[in-house]
Amino acid sequence: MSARRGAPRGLLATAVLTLCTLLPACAVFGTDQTTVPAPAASPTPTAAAQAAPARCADATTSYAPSDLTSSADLPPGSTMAKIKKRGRLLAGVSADSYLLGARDPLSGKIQGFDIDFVRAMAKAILGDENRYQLVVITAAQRIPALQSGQVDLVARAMTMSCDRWKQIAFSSEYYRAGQKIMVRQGSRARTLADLAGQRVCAPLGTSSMDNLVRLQPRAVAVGSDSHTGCLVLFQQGKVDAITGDDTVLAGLAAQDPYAVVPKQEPFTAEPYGLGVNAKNVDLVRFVNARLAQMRADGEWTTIYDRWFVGPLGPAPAPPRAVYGRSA
Amino acid sequence: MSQPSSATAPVRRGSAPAPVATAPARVAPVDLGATPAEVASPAGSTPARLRRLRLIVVASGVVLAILGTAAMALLTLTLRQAGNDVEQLVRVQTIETDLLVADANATNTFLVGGLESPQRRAAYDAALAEVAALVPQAARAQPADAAALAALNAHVLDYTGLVEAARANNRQGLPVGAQYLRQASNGLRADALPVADTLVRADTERATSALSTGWGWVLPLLGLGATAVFVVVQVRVARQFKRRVNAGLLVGSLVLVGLSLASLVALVALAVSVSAARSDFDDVNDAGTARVQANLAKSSESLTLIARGSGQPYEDSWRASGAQVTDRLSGIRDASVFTGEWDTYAAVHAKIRSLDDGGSWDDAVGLAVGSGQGSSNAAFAPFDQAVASFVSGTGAGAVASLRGHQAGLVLGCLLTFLAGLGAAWSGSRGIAARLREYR
Repeated sequence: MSARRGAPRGLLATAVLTLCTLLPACAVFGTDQTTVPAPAASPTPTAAAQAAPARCADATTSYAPSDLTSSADLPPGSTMAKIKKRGRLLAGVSADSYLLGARDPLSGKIQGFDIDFVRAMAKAILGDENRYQLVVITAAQRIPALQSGQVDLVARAMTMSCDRWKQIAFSSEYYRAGQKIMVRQGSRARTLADLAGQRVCAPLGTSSMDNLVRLQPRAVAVGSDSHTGCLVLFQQGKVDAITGDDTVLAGLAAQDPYAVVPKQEPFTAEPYGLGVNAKNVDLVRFVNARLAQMRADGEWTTIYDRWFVGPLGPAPAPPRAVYGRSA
Repeated sequence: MSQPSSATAPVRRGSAPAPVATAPARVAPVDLGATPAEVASPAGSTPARLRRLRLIVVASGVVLAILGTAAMALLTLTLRQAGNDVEQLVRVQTIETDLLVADANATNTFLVGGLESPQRRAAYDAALAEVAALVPQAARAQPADAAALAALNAHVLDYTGLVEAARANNRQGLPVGAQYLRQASNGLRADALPVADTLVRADTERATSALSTGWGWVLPLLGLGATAVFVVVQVRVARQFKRRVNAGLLVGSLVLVGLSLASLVALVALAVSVSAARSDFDDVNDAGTARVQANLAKSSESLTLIARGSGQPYEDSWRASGAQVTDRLSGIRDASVFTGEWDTYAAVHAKIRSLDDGGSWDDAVGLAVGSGQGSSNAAFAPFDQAVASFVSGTGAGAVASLRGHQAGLVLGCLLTFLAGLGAAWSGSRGIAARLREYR
């Protein structure tokens, strides 16, 4: 009798087997969820303790100026002659440091205090103050851009320091800035010391960031690619204060009525120099000669008045040039 | 229903006495001394065997009806899903493209300055309006994408907020506007595009696996199997009775053979059509990706100029995108139109680069933001439009062709069910006719 049952059982088994093979097809209807990629981690500010800057007495000491020859009579084979042959001066600048070097959205032109010095140098080397090409760089790109030869000159609120002298050369000092803090309207902070425990922004790779980490280690240092990037974080409520040179902060405060630079003594001295490749000493000497001329004939004061007389007050005397470095 | 011997089973209803009646007709000349086993109890075993054969015939018909219909239904649903998946892929690729179109227009506008061109602004608004409409539509169409789309939506909100902040500040001549725009563009590339890429990848995989006639092939196999069962039963029955042909079983077998052949022919036709749809789908996928990369390149072009001298990373990004565009276009049939238009744009881009690298930034920007003859925008538009209409046309064609089979497939389900049951019924009737002879 079991033999007779065999056939229906076999049939049943076949049916079950077939069903089992058909079942996986149902996977068609149970669709796997699309995975959501995790958002890219925002770069953590490198607030890591950096070594204190090398101390030295001659950070502002540059090479003695050469004769200021006319653009038609440049020494053959010199860096200036090469620039003249190329037809334009390549300068690394900022396009978003209001008043120093910023792109005017209305005209599309980059303009500011630093840019006027580029124009003066273009006039001296090429005989035409418009024969320059601006390369927009971040603060951290200033030294690499000079070392690689991407630019002839950096005019980007660059502080002369002993560390930097080891990598590049500077012109004589063309402006004396000082680091200050900027806070939100209503904040009681007046000095860097008041910012303990608060989030303070400074651009990465700048002496402003180094000073912040060194002088106020209890503040939460937040990095950005530029001071304007800091202003965006400030407006988004992601930082409580910004620290930087008074010139830069003046430009930021001018864009935001709720940002104030409290009356304070600058806690550092920031001598600005025009950066040049360390090998191009002839260009440094030539630039120094032109700067000396600008200090003497009042052009320096004219440029200062054009940009800073409103936010920073009347022009001080131009910073004194210090020479004596030997190549 | 097992009896040790039918002769001692008068209790059985109806058919029990039948063997007695037919026995003489079958085994008349048998010698009493040498009785073969099957003849020893002839009256009992034949109807029982017939009943068993009838059960087998009915079972195979019913199993065919159920499993065959199930396989057809699976095929129907799979192909319907394939249509939906192709549609969804076109949708998410459009979302990604629109985001890049919006960004290309925003960055291009920024190159001009605070006073943006109304056309660029309109194109930006239109692209984002389409994104706003497509995201919920896509989430409804494929719930598995909903979480990723919600994440994408959050990034898009961030992006538009930043662009508006950039716009307001630009309008007042404040450089912080540029920073807002940079943050918007970088955020779009770093956060939103990876989500969109994931969506495109997931929906490509879904469509690829759904574009198949795999389950349909179960039906002709089952049909042939059932036919074989019917033939074997037929042979068994014919061996026992004088009549060679059992009409009911023959009709059942013919129905099954017909079903198998018809389903085979239909499936081959369907497979050809699905493979055409699949090749259309590959084209849509390639062209859609090419368009995404092309718009990414267009936005990189503006960002290179905005970065003004330190835009090498964006130019590298343009090159990478350009290589992908060419690569993807090469996979499409008749891509010559598209490649021609792309080359035209690439030539304008090369000119912009040589102007910028040569120090004529203003001329480069003029070429990049203008919309006149020979400008970057004028060269890019025909390519973008041609690819866009190819993608939407071919995608809709593939979906329509997949959907066009739905009615036929549903009819196939129904016919399979009826054919299976019909064969079972007919075979059962055929054997019942023999059984009646035992009454």
